[in-house]
Amino acid sequence: VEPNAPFPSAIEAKILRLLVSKGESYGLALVKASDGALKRGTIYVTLGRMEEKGLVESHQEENTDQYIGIPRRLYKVSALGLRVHDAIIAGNLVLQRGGLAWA
Amino acid sequence: MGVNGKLATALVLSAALISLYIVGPGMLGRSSDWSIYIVPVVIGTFAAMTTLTDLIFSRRRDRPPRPEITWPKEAARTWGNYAVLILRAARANGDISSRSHFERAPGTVAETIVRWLPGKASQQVFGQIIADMREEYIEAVASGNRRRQRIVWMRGHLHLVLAFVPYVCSVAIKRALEIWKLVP
Repeated sequence: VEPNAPFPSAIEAKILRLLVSKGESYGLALVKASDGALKRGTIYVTLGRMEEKGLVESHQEENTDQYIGIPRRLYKVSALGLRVHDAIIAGNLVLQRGGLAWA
Repeated sequence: MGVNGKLATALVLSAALISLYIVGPGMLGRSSDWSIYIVPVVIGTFAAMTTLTDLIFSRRRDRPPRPEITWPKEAARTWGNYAVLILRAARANGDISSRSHFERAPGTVAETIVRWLPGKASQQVFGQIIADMREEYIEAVASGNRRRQRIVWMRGHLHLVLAFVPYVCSVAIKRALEIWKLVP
C-alpha cells in the first residue's frame, strides 16, 4: 500500500471486508450482512466517503427493480481498497501475535 | 346465536325485569321492604352487562374482515415517476379475492422532494434510503405483518430526516465558507 493511502476507520474496514467477501453489493445488503454492525442511516454517507477516498467504486444498476422504482447503486472494492483490505488483514495477523487487533 | 337473536333476548329479558320491578311490588302489595327489589335489580344488571358486553364484542367479531394485504410483488409497478403498489385483498378464509386496491409506495412524497437536491446526494444517499425503505416495506407487506410495515415506514422516514439535517448543515457551512473566502 502506498505511503499516502487512506487510513480506513473501523466501520470502513468492516465495509471493505464485507465487499471483498460478498462482491458487488448495495447498502441494505451490507447492513443485513453485518449483523447490526452497520446502520441504515449512516451506511450511504460512509460509502460516499469511501468512494471519495478511492476505496470503493460504484455504479448505478442498469435494470431498476420495478417494485422499488429507484435504481440501486452498487458498490465494489477498488484496486486501492483491495490493497488496503489486504494490509488490514496482514496488520491484524501481526497484531494478533501480540494479543491485539486493529479492525 | 346471532347478534339479532341476542338483542331480542336482551330486550325481552330487560322488559320482563322492568315489568317485575314496576308491577311486582303492586302485585305483591306495597311494601317498604326494599329487599324485594334486590333480586330483580341484580339479575337485571348482570343480564344487561353480559348482554351488552357480548353484543359489543360480537359486533366486533361480526365486522367484515379487514382486507389483508398479500401478494404485493405480483402487481407492483412503477407508473411514470411514482412507484405504486397494487395490493390484493384476501378474504377471511384466506382466499384471494379479485378486489385490489392501490397504495402509494412509501417515500413517494420524500422522493419528490429529494429530486430537487443535487444529483449525487439525491441518487447516492437519499434515493438509496428510500429504496431501502421500499424494499423492507414490501417484505413486511408480503409477510402480512402490519406492525412491521408501520415500523419500516417510520424508521425509513426517520433515517431520511437524520440524513437530511446533517446534509443541509454541511451544505450551509460549505456555502458560508465559500462566501467568507470571497469577501476581500
